[in-house]
Amino acid sequence: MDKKITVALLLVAMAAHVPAIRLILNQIGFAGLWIELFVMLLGVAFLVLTGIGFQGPQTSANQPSIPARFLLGVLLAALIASLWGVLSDDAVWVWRGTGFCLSATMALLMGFSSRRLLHMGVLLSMVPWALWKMAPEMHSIGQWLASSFAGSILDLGKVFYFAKGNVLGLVSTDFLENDACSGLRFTYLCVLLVMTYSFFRRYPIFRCLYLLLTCLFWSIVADGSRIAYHAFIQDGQEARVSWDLGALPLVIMLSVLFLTWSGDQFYSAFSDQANDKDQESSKETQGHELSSDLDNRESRISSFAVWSVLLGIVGLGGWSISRNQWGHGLEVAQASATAAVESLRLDPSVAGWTIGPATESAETFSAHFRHTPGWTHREWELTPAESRDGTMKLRVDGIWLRLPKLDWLWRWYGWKIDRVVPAENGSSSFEMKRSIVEEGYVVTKGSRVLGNSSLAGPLVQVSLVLESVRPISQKQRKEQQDLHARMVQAIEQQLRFGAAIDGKNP
Amino acid sequence: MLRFLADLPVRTIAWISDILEIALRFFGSFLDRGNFEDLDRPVGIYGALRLRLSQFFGFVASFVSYPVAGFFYRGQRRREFLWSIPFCLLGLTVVTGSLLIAFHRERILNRYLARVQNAYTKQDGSRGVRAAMRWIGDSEFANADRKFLYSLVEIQNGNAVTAERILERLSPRDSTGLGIAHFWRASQCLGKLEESKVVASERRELLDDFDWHLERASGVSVGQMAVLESMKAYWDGRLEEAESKYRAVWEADAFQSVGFGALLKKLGKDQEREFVLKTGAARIAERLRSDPWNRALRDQLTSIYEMLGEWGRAEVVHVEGYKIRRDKESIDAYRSFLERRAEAALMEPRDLRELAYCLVKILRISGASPRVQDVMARSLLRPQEELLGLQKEFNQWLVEGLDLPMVHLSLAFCKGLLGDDTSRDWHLEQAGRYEKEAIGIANPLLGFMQEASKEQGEYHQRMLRWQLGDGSIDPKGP
Repeated sequence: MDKKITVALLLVAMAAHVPAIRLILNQIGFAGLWIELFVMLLGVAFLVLTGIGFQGPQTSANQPSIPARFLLGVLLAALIASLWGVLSDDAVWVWRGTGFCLSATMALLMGFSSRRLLHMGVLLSMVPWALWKMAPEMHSIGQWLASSFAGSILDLGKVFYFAKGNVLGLVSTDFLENDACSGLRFTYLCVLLVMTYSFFRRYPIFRCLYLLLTCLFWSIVADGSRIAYHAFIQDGQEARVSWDLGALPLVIMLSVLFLTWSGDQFYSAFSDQANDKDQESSKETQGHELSSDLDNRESRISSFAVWSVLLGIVGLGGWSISRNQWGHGLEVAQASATAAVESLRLDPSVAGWTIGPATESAETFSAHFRHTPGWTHREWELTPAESRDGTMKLRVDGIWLRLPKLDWLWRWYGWKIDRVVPAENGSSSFEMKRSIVEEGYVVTKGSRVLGNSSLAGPLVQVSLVLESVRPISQKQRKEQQDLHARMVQAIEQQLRFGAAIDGKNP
Repeated sequence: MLRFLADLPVRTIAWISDILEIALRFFGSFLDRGNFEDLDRPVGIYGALRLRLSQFFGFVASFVSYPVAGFFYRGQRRREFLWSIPFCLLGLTVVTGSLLIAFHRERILNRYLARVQNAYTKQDGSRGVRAAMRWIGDSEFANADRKFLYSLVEIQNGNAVTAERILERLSPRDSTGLGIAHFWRASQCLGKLEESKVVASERRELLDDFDWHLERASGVSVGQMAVLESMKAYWDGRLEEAESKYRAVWEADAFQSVGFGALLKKLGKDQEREFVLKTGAARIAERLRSDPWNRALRDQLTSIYEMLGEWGRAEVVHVEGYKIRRDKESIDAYRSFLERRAEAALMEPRDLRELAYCLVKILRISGASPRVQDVMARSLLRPQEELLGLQKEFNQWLVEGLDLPMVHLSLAFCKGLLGDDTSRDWHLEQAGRYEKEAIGIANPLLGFMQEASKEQGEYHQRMLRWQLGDGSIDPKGP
């Protein structure tokens, strides 16, 4: 296989996906997720540097150090990821595919083994967690486990509590521990560090998975302990106790890393597999051994297959550029978007309804998987002008770069969602139930904060919520849907024309 | 025989050691992994199964022996063992703790149930509701009785609608439900039937519901059931039976005097009603004398006096209760009583002396609350002759020495509405002289009166003319 041709094609393939990479970098900048990106790049750099010091037998300048079949597998994975990203309009998957291309380029240029290529590829595909599509669901499961563990500690300590979904509340106080239970902390950084460590130690896949699971386990335990500690401090206090975190987050993260490392020591001592490294060393050189039969027919076929796949990735990039799929980037600064939402004003009355400020709902929190460093939440109360039941709450939550599932917030608080029904005007509605009498109906929609609706941009979730102890009639639902459409229209008008993008009004 | 018994301990030890040896030989065959590395490595399904089993036993044996065996490791493995201690100890603690909680779930939930019961006893509804939140969503633990308890604490917490909904769900029309919830539903139907605006078709439906729930009601005292049965007889038109049933209940329990009195009133037996109420009042008053701390008895007695129209006696009972228990509940009860008394006085034909008394008392207890403002406006914004009559009554109370600052304050408003500005200011000055705080009440009252008198031009002008400033009236006057 001609290494130069392969490297050249890899560089072209990566260049073809630069717009998508730029979009992800813009999103990272918007969300302020630089630390996660920095740790990921640090891990890759560490693997590169340690890889340079671990050279196998020298290969010729035109001779790849990686078996062509292996390279083909990796690049096929990259192609599939990119294809999925382009088709599903998700730049994160394109980033992942490009990550594998970059790792293949580095591995070819520096003569790394196939395993090191894979390790670098896996690390490079680790986009900051908050940008993952599944992040809210993963946080939700993790938070549920952490809150359950915190509950166990509180039960052992005889502190009376209750749980509303993922969130705990104390019997002695009249509010929920929203902020303490708003998503897993430090988990992703710990995962990145543990992956780097296990790749550096050249552990086999099973041990890498074991360490990853151990890390997740201790992250959840640490998060649960933090919540329990907070609850212990709060128990019996009528007012919310604010406490200075100080160096606690750092201590928690270091504890998780130490316990994961201790788990690694357990694995070594228990299995007595001191020769893991030796086994890996032998695999490290396998690449060089395999590349000796380059001129045979099978190898030539593999080379052509590799180049074909690379051309496929290039073509995919070219196609997305021709469609200007990622070209618009993210042109709004985070501060402008937040200011636009903060400056929202609503008319005090809308036909038949009076709109006033609402006392903030007990079920409101700043999600830890948010897409901005801060969190914007606005809430209004809509009271029917005639004296009848049915006071609703209009809430604006955000800002998101990509909306999570529309019922995420209510699921977080333990509501059982019946079925999300999309409507023609882009909004969705769903019925929900909780406990033995609580019923609710929500009409919700994602609205662009700035720019016109054809462009990607930050969004807020505008929801109209009706909670009741009685079943909500069809008539009430219809009325709620109409009212929501009117409110969304009023809000979208303000969001589009009320705020400036770099001094220009769209 | 004796020799055998003497040897028995030694023999027993020998038997145990034999059993242990056999067991070890048996399990040892599984654990002896070395055998499978030989040439005669087991083959076939049985062999593979044996190999897996032996590997499993090997793993379990290593795992169990790890905490002890680790101390015998040497070199790097020993260091690894020592560093793994935090992971093992903490991991075991976490897993054991979680399992402990999982296995004691029922016991823990019972602890919460006790907390709800305790909160209900102490009438701490909000805490009771929060404690119940722990188990109310648990379909196994939250049975009908416990849901009923939850509805009770919800009522205490002020969420009557939620409680009603729970009780409705506990008394469905298509299944058995909970007896006490059916009793509640029957009582609810009865309450609706008593409302005068119920139309005939709705009444039939309500009666049908009432019968259905009453048939399934249980879990309450015989007397309480008998009351509902009596009312059923009444609505079915069996008036004699209704009276006799209720009478039997009343004779056993004087607490039913109010209800029985209401039934007799419906039956048009006013003389008998008065007798029942007076007898009931006497019986309850006697019980209250021996148990003055009993709030339920006190409330019942005041209700009977109210029904008899003996407001003065009812007030004495209230004030006595307040002296015994100076808490919010006593104050609230007295405040509601005064409001009811004022409403009674406001009914045509108006009892102006009674009205003047209530106004003074309400002003003293509630200040310028919205409720007081409303009563004040409805009392004073009347035709001039009636206002003069009310002013006369206030003057009479002034002579009799009732709460002087509040009487002066009320008179200031009367004079103000009548256009006598000099007297108005003089009375306000007097009120301030007796009690500086009394003037603070005047400002919001005046604001409300200005707003409420909009329809009555002359009164409105007089009220607008009266400028108090921003609450800082000089008690000495200009």
